[in-house]
Amino acid sequence: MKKNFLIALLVAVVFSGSSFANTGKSVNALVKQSFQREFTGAQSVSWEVISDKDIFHASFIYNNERLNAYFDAEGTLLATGRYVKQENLPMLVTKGVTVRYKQYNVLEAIEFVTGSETSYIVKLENEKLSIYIQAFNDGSTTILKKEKKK
Amino acid sequence: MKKSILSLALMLMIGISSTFANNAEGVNQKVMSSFKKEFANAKDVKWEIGKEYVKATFTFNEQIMFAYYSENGEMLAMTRNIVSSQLPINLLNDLKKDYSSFWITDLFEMAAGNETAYYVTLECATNIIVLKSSDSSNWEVFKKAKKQEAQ
Repeated sequence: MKKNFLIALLVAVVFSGSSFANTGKSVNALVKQSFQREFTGAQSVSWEVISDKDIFHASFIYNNERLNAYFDAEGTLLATGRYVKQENLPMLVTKGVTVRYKQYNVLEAIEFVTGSETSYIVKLENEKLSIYIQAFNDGSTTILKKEKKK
Repeated sequence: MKKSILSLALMLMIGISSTFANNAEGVNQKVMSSFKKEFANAKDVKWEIGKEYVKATFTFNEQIMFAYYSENGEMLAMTRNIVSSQLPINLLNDLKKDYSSFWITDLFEMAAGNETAYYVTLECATNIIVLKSSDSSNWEVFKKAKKQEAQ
């Protein structure tokens, strides 16, 4: 449930530019401790609290990579995300996307890690539609969202 | 299937004697048609005919890739060399955390069937370690040797 919510959230926040930030709420000590344990040495950390879901989003630089991490209020790391270039997608992911969505262009892709599962959220579009898909390392894909272009 | 992937990975790393052919001469029709179907826009294709497989080296989507076929045209695997920043983030972070005193001498992604695996060769002054990940999350030791033994 949380994973699906996070995926939907990523699609909304990262790709569509919507904001769910609640600046009135601060990041609790459990979350900060967990963050420091997971990402020791992280730099340029900025936090936001998302909506009323008690999800804490950290954006930061770690090992020279811009990363995003999502924690619940107990400090559990729910997911990690980073932008990846199309050419850096795994070969089977690229194949799965290009075979199934050949009439679309890839605009952006995010590597999305939950627990031990790595998948890719990819935004594609053609003249009429924007679609968001989740692609897996075995080459399978699933559509998350489809919208008409304005 | 897993065993054959393992054998293939080993062969890829240690190399096998093969015949180089910069054109398609000697490559059988089944392999050729399978390759053309899979990589329709491939450029600069070079072939090597080994004892156990036929290897194509080519450029596809601006990247140099390798595809391995059995004599009956079945694609056994495709691979590409990558740099460490192309690894999934968990694998990259684990390398930096657990193998900071090693340097990378080889790193490639291999897709076989519907499985993606990463192989990295790491060296320090005394050892060579090959790690493999088949879940994009964790590394396992695939091969380990003292440097003098590895020569």
